[in-house]
Amino acid sequence: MASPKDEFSSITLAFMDLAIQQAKLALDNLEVPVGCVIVEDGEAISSGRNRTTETRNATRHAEMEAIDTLLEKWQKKGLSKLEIAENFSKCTLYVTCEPCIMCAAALSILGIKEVFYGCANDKFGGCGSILSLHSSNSNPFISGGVPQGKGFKCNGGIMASEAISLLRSFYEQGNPNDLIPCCNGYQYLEFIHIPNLKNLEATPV
Amino acid sequence: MMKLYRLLEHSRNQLSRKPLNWKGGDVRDVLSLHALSYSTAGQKFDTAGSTAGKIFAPYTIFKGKAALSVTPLLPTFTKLESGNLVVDRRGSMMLKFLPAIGERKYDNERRQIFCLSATEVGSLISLGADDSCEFFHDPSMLSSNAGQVRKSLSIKPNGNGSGYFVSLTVVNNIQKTKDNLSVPVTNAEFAVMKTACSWVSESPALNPTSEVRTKGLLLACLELTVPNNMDAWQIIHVPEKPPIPPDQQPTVDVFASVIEPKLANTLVRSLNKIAPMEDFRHVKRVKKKYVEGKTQLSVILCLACENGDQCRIPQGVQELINSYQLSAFVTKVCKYAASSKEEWEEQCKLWPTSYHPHTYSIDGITGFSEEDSQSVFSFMNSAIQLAKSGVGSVVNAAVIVDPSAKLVIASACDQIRSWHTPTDEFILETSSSKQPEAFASRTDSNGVISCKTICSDGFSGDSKRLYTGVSCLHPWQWAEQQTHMSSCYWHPLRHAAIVAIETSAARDIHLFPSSGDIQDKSVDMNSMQLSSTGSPAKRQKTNFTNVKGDGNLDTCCEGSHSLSDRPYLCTGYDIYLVWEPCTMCAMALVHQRIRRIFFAFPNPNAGALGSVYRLQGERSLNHHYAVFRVLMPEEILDAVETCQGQSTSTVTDSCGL
Repeated sequence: MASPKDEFSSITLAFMDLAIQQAKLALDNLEVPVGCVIVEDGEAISSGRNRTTETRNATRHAEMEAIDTLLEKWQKKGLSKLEIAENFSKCTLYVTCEPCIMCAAALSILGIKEVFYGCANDKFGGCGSILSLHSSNSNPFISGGVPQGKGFKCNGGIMASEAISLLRSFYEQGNPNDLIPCCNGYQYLEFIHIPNLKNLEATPV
Repeated sequence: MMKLYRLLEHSRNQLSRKPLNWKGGDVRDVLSLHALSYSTAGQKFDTAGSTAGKIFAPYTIFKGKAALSVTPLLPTFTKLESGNLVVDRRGSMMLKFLPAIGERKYDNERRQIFCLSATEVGSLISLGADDSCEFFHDPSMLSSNAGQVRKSLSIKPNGNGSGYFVSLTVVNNIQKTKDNLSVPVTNAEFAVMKTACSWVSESPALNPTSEVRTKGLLLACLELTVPNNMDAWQIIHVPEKPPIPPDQQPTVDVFASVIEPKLANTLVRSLNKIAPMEDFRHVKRVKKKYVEGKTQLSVILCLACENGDQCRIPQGVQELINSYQLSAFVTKVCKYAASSKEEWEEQCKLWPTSYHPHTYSIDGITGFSEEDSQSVFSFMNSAIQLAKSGVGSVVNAAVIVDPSAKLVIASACDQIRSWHTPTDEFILETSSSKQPEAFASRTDSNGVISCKTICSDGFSGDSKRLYTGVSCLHPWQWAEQQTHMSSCYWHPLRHAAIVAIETSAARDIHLFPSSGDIQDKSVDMNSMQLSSTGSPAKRQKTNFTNVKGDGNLDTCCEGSHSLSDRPYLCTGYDIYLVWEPCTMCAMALVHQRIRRIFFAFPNPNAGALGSVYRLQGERSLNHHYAVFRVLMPEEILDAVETCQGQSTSTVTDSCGL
């Protein structure tokens, strides 16, 4: 899945860089560093970062934050449901880590056009790693002959090393809760799986 | 002018005649004796017309300056034409304080009453030896007189460990009065009070129509209706794998060979290096068989290729075969580890495997006690009533419950069509925000708020079987649905489970407002303990004695959340959903660490707990909940019923009196 950097256009890389900036913002706020931007017609119209620790709501992933911002913005402009649905079908998401199963399902519900992601998420990933919610072909949702699920194009491995190194630094900086094996206290670390996390933990730092 | 309260007088006489030793023996026995010796204080189901089978007597403590009596107030029910019952008044524990006006005489005219809700009773029961607690009530809450009368009940240790002071302060700004009644209570008397509370909480409430025993819910203030046809309900576990007959388990081909027993160690060691069976740890490498009284050993050499391709044995294995002159043959082993004893027994007929029953145990997988079943049915029923409470069509509803306390943590309906943007305060009554005009809220004479709504024409004929309003059933159809109120925001992802998670997270922040920093946690606990006397009732946390130091936190494991009162996400909580959740909601519940999911109806188009996907069986996920389906007739969605306005538990905390 990981492709060399120069396979992607400079525009793709520029938007992914914006997503990385959001992830850094999350890191500064002691959140698991994942960030994203939503792009329509070559313009970043919304951004989001992980806010699970702050909200104590483990579903407040970067994608959900960006989607909420966008929905509110469009509704304030007075757009109708159909207009908003049409807008989503023109949008592209750039996210530093593969959307989890929940976010991938949400993106399918909204009918987003395309997703670019950084590192894969082999614990929760909903765009190929665990489930393939982006692929409408494998989508078994058929009701009365009408396929119901919406697929979207998915491209992984964009600036994956940057995304991973951010996640890694989250662990190395000594996260405030430092409770990886414990399920009792406040720890939101397993929100995504860091590639090679096991190796990372085994390495004495 | 000064009347003696007859019942109290009566109680005292009775008590004095009983040779009771309050300081020793089994308090419970004493108590039931106490309770059974009276027949005057029986409670009635007001419209059912029959007396409950149990009779409760007040327990009264007479002291020099005042008397304190504890009386359970049972919930009252109204029987509907459909045969169902609705709760009119929630149950509570009434504390009555009477000031003394002379030797052994108490003034009933100047009595002061304080009714403890179920949650407050819980605080009282769990009160440790050196703990104190304080509750505040406003009997005219939600009326124009709100804030004018302020009652506070405090229970404080008396300092020398021999008992407590139970004090009630009533400040009435309307009549410009202030009463302070304090009763010293010995440890023995306090033990009786606590046991009385526990005992009442546990005693069965008889449903006069179907004799359903709703143990533990008597005082639970959960606004539950008890349908009379629950006999037909059933709970079934939805397993991690689709059920397959044990003798039809998927298999893979392997190369194996009979070996000399004395070579077994050497060969297995080499094979584990050359051809490890990483994904088949459940398969034993060696098979032992008795042939003509002699032990015959066979060993798995390596996996054989699938699809009948020309298989090639790896070089290293081939060398072993050559040097030990083994004769390889192809045989079958089971692909997946057995999930039941039956499966395991079948597997071993092919090739021996190991079987590890679940290392984690979640209550209910092995069955529910009658008490637990009734509790599950009641919560499921409240979710169903909530789903039907909306103005248009039926929607999905979610109720998050702390099963250890039988406490509703959060409840919500689908909010994809209209949604009031939250203000700074979190929305407690997520459901009622959707259908304000359908609710007629009234405050009865006890200051208990009850809501009723009539769902007479809730469902149009067309939507009856499609349930187009249920978000999880039709997640992709949001754009086609009409918005009810143009002024409201709508949100295609605000499915019931997502909203309920949001509400429970907001509750967590509200109840435990400190930062999530673990270093601050112990400090935080201490400061909360110190300030506990001045905080509102719902912040009462009395079992801090259980909190261990930080050092213990990293040794604890999943399920031990009771170590601390502060919940970690929804660890240990259950969620009741009317429909099987879609993929988004099911994964959100994984993230939020829900312990058990109960749903009533499957979701063939988009369900992720068995219908389309089966997230409870995705082993790569970091959390696994147990999933149950509550079987019931689908007609329950059609029946025209009076249903209760649903609210979250925090509302029950503030019921005045």
